[in-house]
Amino acid sequence: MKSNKNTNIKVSLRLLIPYLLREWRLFSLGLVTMLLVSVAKLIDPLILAHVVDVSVPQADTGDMLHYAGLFVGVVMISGFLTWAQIVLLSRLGLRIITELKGRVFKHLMKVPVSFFDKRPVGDLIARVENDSERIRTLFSDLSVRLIGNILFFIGIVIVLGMRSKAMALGFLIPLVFLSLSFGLFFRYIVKFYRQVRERYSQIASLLTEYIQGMPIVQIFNREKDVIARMDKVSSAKMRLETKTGFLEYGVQGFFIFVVNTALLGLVIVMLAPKIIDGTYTIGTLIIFTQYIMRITWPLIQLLENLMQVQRSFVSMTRIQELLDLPKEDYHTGENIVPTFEHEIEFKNVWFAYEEDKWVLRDVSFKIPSGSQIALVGPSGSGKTTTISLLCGFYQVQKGSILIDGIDINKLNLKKWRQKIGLILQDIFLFPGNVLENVRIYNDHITPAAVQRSLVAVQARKFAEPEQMEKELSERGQNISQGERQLLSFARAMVYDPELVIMDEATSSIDSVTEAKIQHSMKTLLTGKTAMIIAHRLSSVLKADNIIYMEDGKISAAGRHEQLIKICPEYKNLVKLQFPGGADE
Amino acid sequence: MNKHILWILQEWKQQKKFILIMVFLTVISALVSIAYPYMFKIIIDKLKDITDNVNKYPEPMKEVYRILWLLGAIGLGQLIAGIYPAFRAWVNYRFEFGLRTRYFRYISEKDSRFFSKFRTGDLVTRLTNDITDFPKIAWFLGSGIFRAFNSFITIIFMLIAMFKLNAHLTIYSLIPLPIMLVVFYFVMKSLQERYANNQRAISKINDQLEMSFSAIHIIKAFACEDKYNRFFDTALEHRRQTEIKLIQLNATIMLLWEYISYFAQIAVIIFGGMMAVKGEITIGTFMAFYTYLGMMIYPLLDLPQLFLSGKQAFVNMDRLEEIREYPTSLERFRGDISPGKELHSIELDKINFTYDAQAIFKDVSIKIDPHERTLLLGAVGTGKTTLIEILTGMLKPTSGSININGIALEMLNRKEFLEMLGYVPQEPLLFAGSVHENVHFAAKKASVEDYKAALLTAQIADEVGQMEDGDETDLQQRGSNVSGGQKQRLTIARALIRKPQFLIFDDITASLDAQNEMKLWEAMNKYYPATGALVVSHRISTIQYADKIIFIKENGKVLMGTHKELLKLDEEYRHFVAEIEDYHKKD
Repeated sequence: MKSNKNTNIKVSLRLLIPYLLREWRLFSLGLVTMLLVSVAKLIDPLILAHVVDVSVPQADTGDMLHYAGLFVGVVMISGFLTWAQIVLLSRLGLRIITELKGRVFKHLMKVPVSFFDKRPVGDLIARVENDSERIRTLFSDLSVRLIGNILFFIGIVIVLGMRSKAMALGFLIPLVFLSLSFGLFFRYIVKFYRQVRERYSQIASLLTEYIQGMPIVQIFNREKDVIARMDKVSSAKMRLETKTGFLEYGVQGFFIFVVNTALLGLVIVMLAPKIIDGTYTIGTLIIFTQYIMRITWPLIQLLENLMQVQRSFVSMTRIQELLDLPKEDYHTGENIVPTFEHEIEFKNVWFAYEEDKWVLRDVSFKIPSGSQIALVGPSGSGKTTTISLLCGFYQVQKGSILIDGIDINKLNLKKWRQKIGLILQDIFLFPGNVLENVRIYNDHITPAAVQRSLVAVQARKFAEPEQMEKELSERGQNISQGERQLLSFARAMVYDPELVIMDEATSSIDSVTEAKIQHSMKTLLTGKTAMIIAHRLSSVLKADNIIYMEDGKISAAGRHEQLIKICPEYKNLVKLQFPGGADE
Repeated sequence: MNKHILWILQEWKQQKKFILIMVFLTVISALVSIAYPYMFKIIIDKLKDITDNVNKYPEPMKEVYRILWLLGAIGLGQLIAGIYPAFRAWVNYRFEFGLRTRYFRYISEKDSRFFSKFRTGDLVTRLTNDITDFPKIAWFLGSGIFRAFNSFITIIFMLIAMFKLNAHLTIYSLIPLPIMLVVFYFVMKSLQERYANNQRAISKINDQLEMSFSAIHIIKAFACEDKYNRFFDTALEHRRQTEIKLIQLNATIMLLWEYISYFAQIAVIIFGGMMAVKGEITIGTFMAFYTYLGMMIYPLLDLPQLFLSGKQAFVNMDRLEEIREYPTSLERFRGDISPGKELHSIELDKINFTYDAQAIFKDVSIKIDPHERTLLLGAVGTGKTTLIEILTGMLKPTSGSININGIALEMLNRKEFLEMLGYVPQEPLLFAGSVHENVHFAAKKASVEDYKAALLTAQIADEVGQMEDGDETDLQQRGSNVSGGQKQRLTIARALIRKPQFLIFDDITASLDAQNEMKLWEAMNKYYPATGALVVSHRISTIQYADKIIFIKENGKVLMGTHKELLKLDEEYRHFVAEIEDYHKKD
């Protein structure tokens, strides 16, 4: 996505302003303190000039002490105000990005599943975390210096203007010219910063993958290759950053030279004759040079701060891109409450994930309420896609999916999903303990209910309170693959769905445990509907209807006894599954 | 403190030349910055002299110009010193690169205990967030330390200049210094703690983000999007709290610091002003002192900043070192003996394995024939995967040894042994890249025939052909263009492409349905006739393809034999197998 400077600013402001308006008290207080600090910074050269021009030549100790006291006062107050402005604005910044992060995260939860299919997880995390941090610095050091320095600069012009309009102009014009030229420079450099951020995300992505897959890397003895690849990506970032750094600081160095040397020299050349002939005092020279010296770093910082602001805008744009992702349409508009009393029907459904690459071709079948349907067939025949569609994760291109006669696209998807219990092949663990993994942080579901379902799926050992509180490590190293299956099973059970959808869930559990599950499944499924992608003969034999899919099409459907007779591929499958099972 | 300094010095050693150039540039930069106020003093005094003694100077501007040439020379020095920050940044990036590479390598040397202790998100944070940008490690090693060094040198030069101008005034203005150092030290520890808390919170959040995004299908299917946010809100709020405490402490330290250094400037105004009024020092000297003390604030702030950011960086360093120091049992493989070209025997000799005070394996002594097909059976949680991990050396048994071709695994060149194996994991772990790249992961130079044979045997050749981009199809993490089953079969192809002598299949039931399993064994007979296998399966039909069975009992003992032998020998085995037969007969 290409963005230029203007878009970045517009987007960023649109993102920020609501927050600033809401936290207006903190914000305005911060601004006021900044103003006061800038004023304080203007005063002390004036005090010095007075001492140099008046107190010292007049040898007036009293006068000098008086002004010294004034100096002390100004300095003390300005120090305190500086502290206040940092604390206030940091609070503001933190509050804002904490909420922003929460908002982004919640939004991402609502985005359709297809988004996550394409996006590396590491990249997403880098965005939410790192870009938010960039935005935060916008509020702590950044705006403090930026706005503070601008105010300071304006103040200088006013003070000098009061002494001599010519002097003020003499000051203003070259500095404005300098700032403008550097403005052009930034437009050029900002794209590099974006690239650097992208390289950083890339690195995070790659690291995530390789660390997750390290056991594979090791057992295949491929550590060297993987390290080399990591190096390549890492050094690409280094080179880009270094180049950018030299550009940035090279220009900065030149700028310092211009101000500290050229400009200062010019000032001295112009003022010296006037001092010699008495038009101006030495104090004037001091004021001028003090201001110049004081504005050098702030001006450089101004430019550097502008750079950082640019970077923050880029980060904000990246975050906004996430917030702009269209949410999943739950079809709450018409708010048709789904019922599932009769049947689900797939009617001439054609579906493709990507343009014209059909995964389902003209699929039609019915799931009567209360029945158990088994979906069988070779891998890649469209079974997983079928159940994804049942969950409403994607929309079909042709045909329709009807629930009690109503198109699923018209139903309130959330309410429909509440009727479903999903058990997948890949067992995902959530951060947290067993309790939360089973109920997915849904606190409407009581620990007692979780306990009951854990017992029902023969995972009794987890049902004890200390076990339920046990934190699960990411790879589930403290529980086995089979036990993870049981947990996902308990999850489906505890939600008491009307339709249970299972994708080869029981294939990795040994026959003994599976037998026990089948037993309790019978109890669970009474009065419920089930659609099971079956890899085990046991689930298939119990099905009211078996759908045999191949290549995205339904080759045959019926009860086991019928299919054995009419479908040779099916017969083959059964033969392999259970020697002797095909002979009836 | 010592170990951190040692660590820093070691890192510097890696970039020796750059560090030396940095030192040089630092000195130049410091010299240049103190030259300006001194030069300014000269101009002011000169101007005062000219205005007070007009007659002494027939051509006053000529004097002024002479001084200005000096200014020009200093300016040129400034230009040279101008590349200093760029160079510093470069050094930072070099450190970042070096650290990331090295610690990633350390991670690649760890065994499975390490990966169950540290979550991926946390490790990724340590190699990114803990290293990159201000005020993390890479920044600290370069800019952090050198800015402080620059400040230190600047202050030294400043003091020299000030002493040269007027010793008394210098001493008066330096009184606040000791106070600064004392106050500063008290606050340091608190800061370190807060910083560490904050880093932990950051890691935790990254973990949770990763897990959550990975499990999005489940969250949506159970319509839990709203409920799920509860946990994240808590973590975010916690982080905000730790961060605020950190910022406030930082700000307070800065405040104290500024006040104390302002006292120095006040001392100049009062004492210096008095001395100027009495004519003891010139105006130029007065201004020079004032300027120097004004300039001193920032370098002085940089000094405790060094300690502060050092403390913070130390926390990050500790987090990195934790990675390096975490023991890995993989280190025990220091052996050099080659297992030879052929795999004859794989033996488990009195293997015991205890985990969390539970005995998983008790006294297991079995011999696996690598030319045969051995089926690994056992109930859930009995440790089939664990056995495989012990066999391949990924996990260290509590006692006992693995003997390959009669030699203990610790003595062998384990890498050579691993090259003889093909491994298919339970989960289809693939990497970003094309299908072709992934299958060739362990055999970049495999021939086209070998590649084709692997795809055919894995029962995925046709499907790869049908993909639109063929085998150039890009595999994204959780990509929808390739199904779960297809991914798992790709992992089979990956294991086969290098024509292993022995194939380890952790859960064939997860990868293949019964039909494809049959085809697999047929293809194995055809393309890999000499390759034996150790197969984990939950499908009773696999028994027909196995020459031997290893059965893991509930009590951790292990039996090995043919199916018929075990049926006769062991009741638990009979029960295990019979359960399914009975069950199916019920219908």
